[in-house]
Amino acid sequence: MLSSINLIVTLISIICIINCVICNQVFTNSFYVHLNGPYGSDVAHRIAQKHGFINLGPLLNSPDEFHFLHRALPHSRTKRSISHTRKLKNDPQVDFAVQQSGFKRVKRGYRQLILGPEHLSLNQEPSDPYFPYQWYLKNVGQNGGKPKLDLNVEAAWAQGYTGKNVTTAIMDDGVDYMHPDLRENYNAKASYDFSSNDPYPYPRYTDDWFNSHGTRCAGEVSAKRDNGICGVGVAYDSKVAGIRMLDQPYMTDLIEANSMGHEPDLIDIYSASWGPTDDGKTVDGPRNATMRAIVRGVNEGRKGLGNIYVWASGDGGQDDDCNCDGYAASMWTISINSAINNGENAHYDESCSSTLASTFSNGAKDPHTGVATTDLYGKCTKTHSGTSAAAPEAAGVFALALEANPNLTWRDIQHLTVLTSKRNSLYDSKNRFHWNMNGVGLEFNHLFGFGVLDAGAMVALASIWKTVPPRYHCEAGSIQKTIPIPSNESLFLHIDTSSCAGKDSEVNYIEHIQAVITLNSTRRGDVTLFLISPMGTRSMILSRRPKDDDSRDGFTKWPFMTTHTWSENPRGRWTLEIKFDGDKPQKGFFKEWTLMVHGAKEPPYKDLPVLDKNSKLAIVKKAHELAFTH
Amino acid sequence: MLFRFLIVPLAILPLAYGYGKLIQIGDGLLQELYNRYGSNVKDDLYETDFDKQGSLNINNDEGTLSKIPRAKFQTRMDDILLGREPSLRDAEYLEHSSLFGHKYVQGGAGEGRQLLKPDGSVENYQVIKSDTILPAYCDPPNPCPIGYTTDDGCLESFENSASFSRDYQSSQKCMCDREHMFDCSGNTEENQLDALARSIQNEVISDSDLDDLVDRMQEGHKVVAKKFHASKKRNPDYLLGEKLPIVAKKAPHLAKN
Repeated sequence: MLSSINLIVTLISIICIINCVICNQVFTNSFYVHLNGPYGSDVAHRIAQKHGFINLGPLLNSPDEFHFLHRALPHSRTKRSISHTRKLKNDPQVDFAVQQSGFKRVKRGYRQLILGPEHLSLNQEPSDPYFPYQWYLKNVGQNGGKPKLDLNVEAAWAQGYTGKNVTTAIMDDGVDYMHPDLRENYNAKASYDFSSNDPYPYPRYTDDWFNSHGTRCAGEVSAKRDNGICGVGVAYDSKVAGIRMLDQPYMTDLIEANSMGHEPDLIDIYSASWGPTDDGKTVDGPRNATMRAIVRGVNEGRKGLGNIYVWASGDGGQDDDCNCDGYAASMWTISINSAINNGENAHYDESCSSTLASTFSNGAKDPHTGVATTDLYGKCTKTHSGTSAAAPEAAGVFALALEANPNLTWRDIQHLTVLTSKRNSLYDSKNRFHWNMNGVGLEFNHLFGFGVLDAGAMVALASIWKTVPPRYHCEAGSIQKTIPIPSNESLFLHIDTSSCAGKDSEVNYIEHIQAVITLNSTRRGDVTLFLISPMGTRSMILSRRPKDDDSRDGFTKWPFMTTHTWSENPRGRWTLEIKFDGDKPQKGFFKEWTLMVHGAKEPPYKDLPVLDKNSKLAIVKKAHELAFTH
Repeated sequence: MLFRFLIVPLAILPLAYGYGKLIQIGDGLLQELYNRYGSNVKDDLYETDFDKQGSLNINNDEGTLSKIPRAKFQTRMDDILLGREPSLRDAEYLEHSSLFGHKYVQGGAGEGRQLLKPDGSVENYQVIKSDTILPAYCDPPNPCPIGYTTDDGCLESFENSASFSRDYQSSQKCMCDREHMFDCSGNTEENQLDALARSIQNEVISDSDLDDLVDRMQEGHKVVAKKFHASKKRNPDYLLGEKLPIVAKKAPHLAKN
């Protein structure tokens, strides 16, 4: 009898102990997953997706150990989620899975349980001597900058993406591919010298080292990490190709076309930091052969996924508008503007509504706040500058995204750019252009597009991205009528459109809008144009250009492009406002306006999981869903 | 066989010296021809009279649309931009030859021995046509990237330094890049021509000036000058296309406008 009581007491106490152990333990929604083979990230992604998990990436770069997350589970609970663990364990490719328990840590050791991958931090910073000067990669307030105003590349690196197997071509004055910081990342096969017609785009010597531009741009993209030389590239494991095409005393359509169409299956991203003269009075763009090369690259390059063309928006300053630069204004190029290290726009910034996003360049009060990168003949520099310096940074970020998801199309990259760029603390130092919200809740700014690129957020979204539905082109309407433009008030024109509803080319979700306009005036530079979407987004598609005194050419079927109405519904009334803005009264005639709508018929993000309800993706998705139910 | 054309190998360059001089002025000459071509376009066009046009336009839209002057820079009106098809795909492509280097073409009455005029009283002379007068800078060295050897046509013995490149390029006969070289005095003989070429870059030169220049070059280089003179053609074929924009590098501190 006594022994049986004893036994019961013992049992009870054991249960108690177990209970206590259980009640003290906290289970998170994170799972450690060990695959039964080195299948790599792609397989892990599929497994995660199949069972409703999110793959946060490999553990310590391991090919078979992964960190999964389940959003349906609470962040912490006191019981194991056996059913979820079992789902994973039952997968034929999973060896075992363990739901992670949370422990307590004090102060330094404390690690937040929920961390979006875009907030991951790097265990060890690059050791390259110029890394501390690369404030655009990691801004800790050096040179009076604003801490955390940077490309957030460390978060992307921490997720394991460094640009592997991606090639960026620098279309410029050559690349010092013998530079010890670039040598090993140089893609010789994809390179060419169109200035002296040979396969070796080594720069031509001049006394002023004028031809250092391409080398500097190349270093921004893929200077090697931890080799003790100069700094580190945004995508330091990516390859860089040189296309030397700026270094002859003239430029021809064929040189441009050949450059932009060079090895479109070997080159993923083309970065260009040149264009028509930024004198504030030029209206020019790609000619026939070059245009065809771009279209071909977009349609067929990268084995059908489309090449990514990154374009510097220009250095014309506030007196120019990059919508008058047919390269930057093209839908097929991603035009990139620049901000300085405290979030202001750079004084040389040339803005326009076709700018999609921004990166960083020089211009701060401290003149040493240039872009640190490689220079000619194995040297390093801290003074790379202009929007020139901004475009290669963007190319590097796109290289990271392409590694995270090699199946991204040229349009996916633009969608990702829109959805993950951040307003951060970018602002117009002259207080002219404010941040506005478009009809689906996306913030945009005339100067910065959708904001500064965020590499961490971009690769995180890229890794779970679903290719957007097919793109259609709808001629939404046209006005062909000669109408005088009043000297002292606005001329308003309207196009009511169904956006090709019911036709093959129906567009319900805008990507690009083109207003193809013909007009002339006694002073072209005083004409300003605004396009107002049916959802009320007002986009300045042509700003005043005080130096443009043309009175003869005007604009002839010039395609003004805006990205500001991204993801909006194009149906309804579009308004074009034309007005003079200048010192003297001017005259002019409007002749023609054709509205072209480019975008998807199906909702572009409907299959994408929303990981963060405050993300831009969540906001746009919600707007699309609401519009659909109404 | 009269109209047979043949590409003469690069090796045949007895005219190199003459062409060399042409290269020296090529830059300026090209600019001048650009200017001239550009200004012709300008002259052809009608002045826009806004008041007049306004009164016309209000009465009749259709009629006046055709009277609107065509802009110099026509935007592309091809299928790419204003296609009305749902899918804009290129069906045909512009193929560009992989041949490169200067072209030397001979043919017509400039080849072989021919007797001209009805009575055959005039003997022909040899003419080789070339595109070498396009201005060109020196070629930079082509060091071998990793994995390449001399067999690939690149330099294995190479030093990645400014002085190596400078010395390499200075051994070439090419146009001195005055914008970016501090000193172009190396090629003294051509200095005068150089200066002239430079001076015509920014201003329109008169026909007599141009003839003068050509005459000067003619001395001792009959073949070149003859061809240039006989045709009296100021716009070589490669200048007949669209006038291209000046390309600017997008870095304010680098670009010297």
